[in-house]
Amino acid sequence: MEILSYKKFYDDPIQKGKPVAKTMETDCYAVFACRHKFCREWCPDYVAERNESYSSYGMHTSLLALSRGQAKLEEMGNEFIHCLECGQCELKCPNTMFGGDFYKYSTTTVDLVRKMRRDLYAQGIKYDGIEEVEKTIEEHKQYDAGADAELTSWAEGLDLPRKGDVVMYVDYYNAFQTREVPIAAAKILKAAGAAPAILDHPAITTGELLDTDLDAWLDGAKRNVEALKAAGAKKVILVNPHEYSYFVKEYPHYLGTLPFEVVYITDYVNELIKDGKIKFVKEFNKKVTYHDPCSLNKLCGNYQAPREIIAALPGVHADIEDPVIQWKYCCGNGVSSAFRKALPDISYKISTERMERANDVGAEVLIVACPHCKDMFAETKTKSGINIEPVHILEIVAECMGIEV
Amino acid sequence: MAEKVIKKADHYEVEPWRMKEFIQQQEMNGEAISKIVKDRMNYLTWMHRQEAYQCLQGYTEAELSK
Amino acid sequence: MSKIDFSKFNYGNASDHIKELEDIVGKENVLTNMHDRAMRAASCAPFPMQRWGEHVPDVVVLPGSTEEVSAVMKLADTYRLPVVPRGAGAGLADGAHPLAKGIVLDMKRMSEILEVDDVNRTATVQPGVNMQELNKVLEKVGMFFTDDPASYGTSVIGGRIGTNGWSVGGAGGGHIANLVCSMEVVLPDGEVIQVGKGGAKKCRNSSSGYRLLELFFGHQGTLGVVTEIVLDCAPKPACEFPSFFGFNSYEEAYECLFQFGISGIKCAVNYIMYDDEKIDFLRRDDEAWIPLPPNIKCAVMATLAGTVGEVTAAKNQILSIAKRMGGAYLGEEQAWGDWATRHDRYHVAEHCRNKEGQVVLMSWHCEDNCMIHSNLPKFTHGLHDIVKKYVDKYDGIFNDAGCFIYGGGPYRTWGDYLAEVDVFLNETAMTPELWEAWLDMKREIADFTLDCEGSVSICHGGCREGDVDVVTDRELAGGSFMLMKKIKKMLDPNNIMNPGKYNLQRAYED
Repeated sequence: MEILSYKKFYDDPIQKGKPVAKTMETDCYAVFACRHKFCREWCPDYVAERNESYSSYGMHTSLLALSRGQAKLEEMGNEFIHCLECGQCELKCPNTMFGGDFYKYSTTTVDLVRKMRRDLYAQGIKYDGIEEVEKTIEEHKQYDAGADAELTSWAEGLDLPRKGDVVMYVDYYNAFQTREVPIAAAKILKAAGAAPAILDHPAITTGELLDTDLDAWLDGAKRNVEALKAAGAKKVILVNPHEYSYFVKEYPHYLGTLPFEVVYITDYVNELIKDGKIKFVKEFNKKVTYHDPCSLNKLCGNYQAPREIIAALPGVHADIEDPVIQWKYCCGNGVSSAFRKALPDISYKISTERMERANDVGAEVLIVACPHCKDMFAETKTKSGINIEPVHILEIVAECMGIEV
Repeated sequence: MAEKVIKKADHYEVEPWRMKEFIQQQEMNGEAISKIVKDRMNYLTWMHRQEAYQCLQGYTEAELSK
Repeated sequence: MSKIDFSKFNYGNASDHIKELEDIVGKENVLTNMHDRAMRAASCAPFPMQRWGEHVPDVVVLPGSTEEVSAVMKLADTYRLPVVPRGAGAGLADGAHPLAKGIVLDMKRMSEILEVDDVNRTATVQPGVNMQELNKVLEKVGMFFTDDPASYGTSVIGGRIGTNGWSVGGAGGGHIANLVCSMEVVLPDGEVIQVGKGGAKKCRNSSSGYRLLELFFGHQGTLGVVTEIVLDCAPKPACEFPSFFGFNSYEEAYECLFQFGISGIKCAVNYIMYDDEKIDFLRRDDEAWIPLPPNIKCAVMATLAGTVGEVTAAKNQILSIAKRMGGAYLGEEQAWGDWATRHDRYHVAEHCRNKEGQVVLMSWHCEDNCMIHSNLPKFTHGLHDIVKKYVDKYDGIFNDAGCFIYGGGPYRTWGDYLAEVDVFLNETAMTPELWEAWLDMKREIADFTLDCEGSVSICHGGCREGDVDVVTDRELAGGSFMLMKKIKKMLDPNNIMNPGKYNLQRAYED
């Protein structure tokens, strides 16, 4: 699977004192020309803040204004951090939804936001709260410079090989923040007779880095592809949907077609369930609902497998909202965690809003399929006291299989 | 159609020569296009559900030929 | 419209009052950066990009409560600061387009649904609430707010009131002016009042007092700021049924439209005619991607909604009329897709072409004239004659996207129509000369509308550049504009509310 939809002229940086290129002005006009802003009422940041500057329309119009001498680049530091990169606006924009396939031209707000964050950073125009993001990038670089053993310490005792046809790529966030997720994945796959290999030393391809330093991110991407090839991968399983969206969209964009198949863990587990390789021995007698990860649902159009898995779990009573309704939802973290780090209060507001929607359908458990969603909802639950338990889908699958995680 | 269009399996495409002077086509592959088609259909289905509890079926051949 | 001379109003400079504004609404809700202000210079109507800077407000203020709005208005009135209220900025008459800079009062932070009363069937909302989002909440109790403009997915209640908007579902479910029981308004001097049907909050009818609620529909932000609204909500329909019939000629379609309209069917959402030019335009890249048979020149859509029994009976009657009128049913897929895309179809900027056939990005505009049935053919053919002149003369600047003809309503399917010609315009290529040509086109259309006994605007408002002089000096010359000026001066003696809109600066001429 590779989803390619991008504009080459985005590679041309926007800089102070340099006129905005005609291609960029035209691109921004394509969104300004609509002015009906179908993007806005479904944008989680806009819904939280009600400031139209922070919407696909606002961002494109800011740059159009810049091209017409009606804006100053040095004032736009905070303009592009107000975006979860969730992809709702670009998929819903009539230019995409009603014209994109016909004209092969669509709205590409997520790319625009990433580009502008990089372009502004390169000129020292920084957003408020960027220090937290810079700290995280430094932290990851320390891990990358450190020992292999630390990067794979989450896999201790699991005896996972380092070579194989099927390799599970475990990113830095899972390795250090939500290790129960890759651990659950590994245990499930092992019990299903499909133990994957893992990399000794994954490289950094986080959202924070993609927003800040494309060259460094591409170095990481190239290293990952080489390492996966060297490990013998014909199929690569991702356990972080952000990384999945990068492997499916960004890696092929910059590096060409990958030499292996890419699959998200929920698709892989769903196939194992359908093939009878995963057997459930325990019931999960709870009222549940499911939160579609933005990067999976909105960026990649992937929403079916988690629903089928949940339907297969014994004892579960599920009330899951339509993936279209969930275009408006977000856990609050953002596909780039830069959002949560720079704007923690808005993150919290967005997260609370989503958890209350889960409460509305009467759920006791909010099933997630993303480690960032899990961490974000857990933090929000503690802070707000909202009575609903965020649980990763793999943890429930493991529990129903009788596996302790 | 008023213009010659390129007919694909599940969608139509504009003749590329029309996108030369003022706006150019972007890089877009089959999966990206399929996603647009799927998102559109999901959205239209949801729109109908929002407005009424059901959408009655269209006229049958029998009704049309009466 | 020549540039208005505001000097006699001795406006203060809003930039001198930033601290006071921050004290009222909070520092984070006062925006002074250039791009934050520049993006709020435009509404949805064609934008004079060549003079963008002239319309950029001095400051943007985002109030969060009636008290904050009142305090801002008191400050503005004291220091004579122009104030332009802004909803979604989706209006098509330039209501939210500042003519004298000043403060843009962005109302979208006030977006709470305060109460849903499923016994008295009302919803009490703040002005920044969007109808599609409201309906997501209302459907949980089987209610439905029927206001359904093209901007359904983005416009907000306050803006719908300010523009006196029209709804495609209005022939069945009423327009916004029919769907408000009462509201709270902050006057230009900061006083907060309640207006309704009499003094009741949730009554739909009253004979107590003047009909002052109606005064604030279509005021375009010139008389006050709406801060809370009680809406009338319908039951969510049990079923809907869209259908599409093709015709070999305009005349046949026009006659069918009439027969549908007088059929006595009560559960019509609306009947919509697509003229020859509209069908041609859609054939370029019909968003439903279903090619129409080549003999089809025009189409009429009939959409019904209500109980299963009444819709089933009505759809049989519709088919019978359509057959009698020579209509060919275009299939379920066409109707299903077309009806669900009715909001979004306007907005694909790539729809337009120059003479050579190159795709040119243009922005959609709709000349939203109201026309009586008897003059409809002469009118829509005449509209195209006007628009085509400009399309031919200015290659790559304008496009004629054809006419939609919708039942005007409210609550009726006969008599008059929103007979809109959709004109696309290339804003990035605008120069003063091209903009003047655009205004000439609009003036010609407005004058022609009145010659045909229609009204210049059925739904957006008559205050756009190009139309406004025809509206104030001709359409409303029988006394309405005179009364508008008196009311304006009475409520807003300092002319701070959206100054220059509707030529109301003339209210202050000696």
